[in-house]
Order: sequence, then structure tokens, then C-alpha cells
Amino acid sequence: MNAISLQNIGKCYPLQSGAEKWALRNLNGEIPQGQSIGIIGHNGAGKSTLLKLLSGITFPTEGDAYVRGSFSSLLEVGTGFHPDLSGRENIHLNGSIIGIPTKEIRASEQAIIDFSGVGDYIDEPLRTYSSGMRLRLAFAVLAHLTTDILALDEVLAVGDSQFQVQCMERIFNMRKDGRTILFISHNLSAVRQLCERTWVLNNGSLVFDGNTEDAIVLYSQLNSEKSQRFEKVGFIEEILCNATERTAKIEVHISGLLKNDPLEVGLNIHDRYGNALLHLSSRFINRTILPMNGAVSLELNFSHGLKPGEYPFHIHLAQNEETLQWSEQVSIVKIPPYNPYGFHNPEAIQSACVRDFDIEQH
Amino acid sequence: MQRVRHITSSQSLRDWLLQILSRRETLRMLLWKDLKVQYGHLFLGLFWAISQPLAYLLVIGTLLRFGSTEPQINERGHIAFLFAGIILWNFATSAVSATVNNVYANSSMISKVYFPRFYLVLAPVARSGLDFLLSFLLLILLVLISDVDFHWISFWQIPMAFLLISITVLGLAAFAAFAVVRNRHIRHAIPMVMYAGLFMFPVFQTLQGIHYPILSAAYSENPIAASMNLLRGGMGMTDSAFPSILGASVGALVILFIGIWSFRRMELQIADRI
Repeated sequence: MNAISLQNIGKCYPLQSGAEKWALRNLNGEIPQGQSIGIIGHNGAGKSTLLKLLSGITFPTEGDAYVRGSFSSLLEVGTGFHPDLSGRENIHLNGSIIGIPTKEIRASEQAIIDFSGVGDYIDEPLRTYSSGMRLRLAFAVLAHLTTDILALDEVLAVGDSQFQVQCMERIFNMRKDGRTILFISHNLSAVRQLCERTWVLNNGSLVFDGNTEDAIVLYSQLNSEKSQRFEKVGFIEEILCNATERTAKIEVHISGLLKNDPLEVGLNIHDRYGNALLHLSSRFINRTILPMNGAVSLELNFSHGLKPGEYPFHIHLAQNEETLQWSEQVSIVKIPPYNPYGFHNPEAIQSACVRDFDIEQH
Repeated sequence: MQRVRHITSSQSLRDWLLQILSRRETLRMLLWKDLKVQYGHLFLGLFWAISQPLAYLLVIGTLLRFGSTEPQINERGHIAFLFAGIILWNFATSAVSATVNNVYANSSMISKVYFPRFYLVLAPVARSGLDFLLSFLLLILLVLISDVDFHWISFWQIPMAFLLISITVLGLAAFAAFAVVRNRHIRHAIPMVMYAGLFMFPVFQTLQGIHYPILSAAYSENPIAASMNLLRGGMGMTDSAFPSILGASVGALVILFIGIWSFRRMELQIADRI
């Protein structure tokens, strides 16, 4: 029996210019009860729009969808939290907003508190919590949802690694319980672990429905194509990448900035499964970048130990301690094929190579 | 047997009502949150609830005392008379403003989680209603210490006034939510329009005291003016009941219908527009 059935579903947003933008179009598909399905695609591919349609947050422009059983979607952790209420009170408030019946929240209250690890702080106002404590409390509430279908949108993109492991364990338990899970993430490693089947969305259309490994290969190809036709993203006018087997140069041209306010730039380089490998930040090297006339051209040179392949990266821009732009997978660093170590199989090189180290023989 | 939810480009009135009823625990929690935040410190909360109408009473009462030579009833009775008009008008103003603010304050929640959107109207209207009831208790006190000629026979006018004002305010708040989502700049105009109501509605005078036929005709179908007159009549401050309760009731229901109809139209797009 299908938990979700989509029939030519589409969502169109009118633009201020009078034009229309179809975020989703002619989407057809079925998800059987108890299946975990990954949904991957670029930003703007239509993933979150699909979840919003299924949860009733927004309505489709055309087509029909049928959802069997109770449905909860988690597009954000901690929705509706109020800083003046205590952690315990926020458990009840947040639980009620995301649709957990009061009786269930009451019955699970202690389990939620234990899972969150907030301990004695539970009766303190939320404004006194650290961001990590808020996050743990919020996910603890979500983890106790007992709906038949659960849709998770990038909920693992926040929190530290220990928290993410804890979340994944909980999601695995939900899967074991026979719940239907829709899992949206740029963390392809997590998608691979959790989902046997994956949809790839591209420009609002379903371009692949099948095995997760094949979906990831297709998604990487789409990424590669996208990076070869870079279009202006926010403040970033252009990105040029050039890499050798040991070094890489990334040129970034940025405009529209506040004049003469120090600019902070960060780059996160990932593997194709979304695992973070390298993090470059102007903050690490105490470099002050002053955009004269609101524009700046940067050249980031760095040595790396990455094995041959394609590595998407994210960019973060900030001025005056405020984020101007956070763009995921804006471009790709391509490390050319090489085999300097004389391995029979260069693929045997695992992730990054550390070249600057020593071995002492005693 | 699991329920199958059909998602399509529209939502029937029946489904809309069922959703509002089935998630009423969420409404209760949203209201509880507002009350907890406002009345967390009981005395401070009570003070804020009644301080605004009291401040208006002080200003308006002082102005009228020095500006008018003909109080419509005795001195203390006149204060109660003014206060009755002020608390009803203040209920309408605060409920509409709170609804507009609520829609904006919860924009992130609206675009990230599903809950019946009409709660964005119901919760602030209910909270303002509670503040109104607290002010009403103060009005009872004012009536008791005044030489007002209270008759039990007129008592029915008080619940009638409450009903009329509640229906009207709910409709106005729903329409205000629709208007600000359609055009966010309207948000700045709403307080001005509501405060103009202080002079547009018979807060300072009885309906019988209005001698302009056009204004008098406009008030005769106006549910806010009617509720003011009914409340004052029910508490013995004026002699006669409102001349057209039927007209005012129809007016209140029309406002409620327009408010809910507009809100439901906008609700389909609220997460896309907010």
C-alpha cells in the first residue's frame, strides 16, 4: 500500500515581474508504506517545495497528492520556540505546534528531557541556553514524533558531529519501527546510509527514481554540469577554479558589498557524499579584506592532499559579523588524475593525503 | 483504518473547519504561550491589560471635563459611560493590531510548519478578549461606585454586546490579516485607521446625542456602535436599547463572513507570500 501518491503535481510561484516560476512540474511517483526515500537535488530543484506541499504548508497549483496516515515534516529544528518560556514549557509548545497530541508529549516528557541532555537547565528560560542546547532540545522533541510518515529536510545540517550521530541513530530507529521517511539532505553519505531508494530533482522535475548509488552518481554529474556554467549567485559575480595534484587556486569576484567594511570569506570543500574535507577562512589567517567601491577580487591559493576527483564547495560571505551569503555547491574543484605514489590502483588513496608529516624509526 | 488526505489546489470549507477543530490543542498552546508571556508576572500582566484603557480614560475624561459643560449623566456615571466605550473600542483595536503583528512575528513558523492558519487570528483575538474581560471587571467596579440606575430587565443587553463585538472583531482581524499578507505596507496604515475609530465611533456620546442624520444612519447598522450602546444600556447608563439590533447583528455577520472569506482566499498562498 502506498503512503504517498503524487499525480502530476506542480507548484508555480508568480514573480513580481509578472512572469511565473514553476518550482515543481508534472511530478508523478509513489512511495510505499515503510520505505525510506532520499530526495536530492540542487538548491532550487524543488525538494523543499515538495515537502511543503505534502505537509499542507502550501498548496499545489495543479495536480493531486494522496497521503495515507499522519504526516509530519521537519523543515526547521525548533520552530515556535519562545525564549521567555522554560525548556520544559517549550517542549509542550513546540510539540503541539508540530502536531504531537498533548497526552503524548506529557507521556514522553521525561524521555525527551533525557534525550536532550539538558538536565537541570530544563526549567530555566530558553534564552539562557546555548545554541547547542536549544538544538538538542528541539531535536529531542522531533525524535518523539509518532506520525506514520516523517519528512526531514536538512535537519542534520545543524549541530556538532556527536549530535548528528545521535540524530541519525534516532532516524534509523524510526525506520526500524516501519515508518515511512522522506529524507532531504545535501549530506549524500547520510542519504546513502538511510535510504535504499532516492529521487533526484532537477529544475522542478523528477529526473531519477531508483537505487541510491545511481542517484548519487547522476547528482554528481548534474553538479559537474552546473559548475561548468557558473551563473551569478548573490554577491558572487564569477568563480574560477584551477587545481593541480598538490595545489589549487580559486578566484572569486564579488560585488555589491558594503564599502570599506571588512569582508570575511569562508570556503567548505566537500566530497560528493557531502562530507566536509577542507575549510578555508580568512578568519583563520587573520586576513583583513577591505572591499574598495563595494567590490573585490580574491585569489585563494592553498595546497591540498585531495585524491583525483571533483569536489563541490560552499561559500560563506560576512560583513560586520552578519552573514551576507551562504551558498552551497557554488562550484567544483577538479583535481586532475595523478598517481604520484605508484599505487597499482590510485582509487586506493582514501580521502585526503597528508604529505607534511614525519615517521621516526626507533 | 488510516485516513487518506487528498491534497489539491483548493480546500473545502468542511476540511478547513475540521482542521481547525482537530488541532485545537495547538490553539490552546498558542494562547497559553501568549498568556504565559504576558501574565507570567501576574500583577504586571494585569496592570498592562487595564493600563491602556485607563490611560485613555484619564486623557479623554480630562479633556471632556474641561471641554464640555453638559455631562450626559452624573459625574461618576459619566466616567463609567466613557470607560464602557473605551474598553470596547480598545478590544477591537488591540485585537486587530495583535493579529497583524502575530502574522508577521510568526512568518518563519508559517513557512516551516503546518498548523491551521486561522489560529493566527483566533489566538490574538482570544487574548485581547481576555484583556477586555479584565477591563470589564473594572467597569463593573466603576458602575457600582456610580449612581447609575441599574435594572435587571436590561441585563440581557450585556451578553448581546459581548457577542456582537466578538463576532465583529473576529471578522475585522481576519480581514486585517488578509490585507497585510496581500500588501505588507497596509500594516502601517492599520493602527491609524483603528485609532481614527476613537472619533468615528460613539465613544464620547450616546447615539441619541448624535444629531447628524447621515452619521446616525451609519451608526444604526454598525455593530461596534451597537455593542457600545447595548453595554451602556445593559449597565443602566443610557435609557434605551439600540434601535436596530437586527441591523447591527446582520452587520456583524457580514463583517465576519467577509473576513473569513478573504482570509481563506489568502490562506492558500500565505506561506508563499509571507
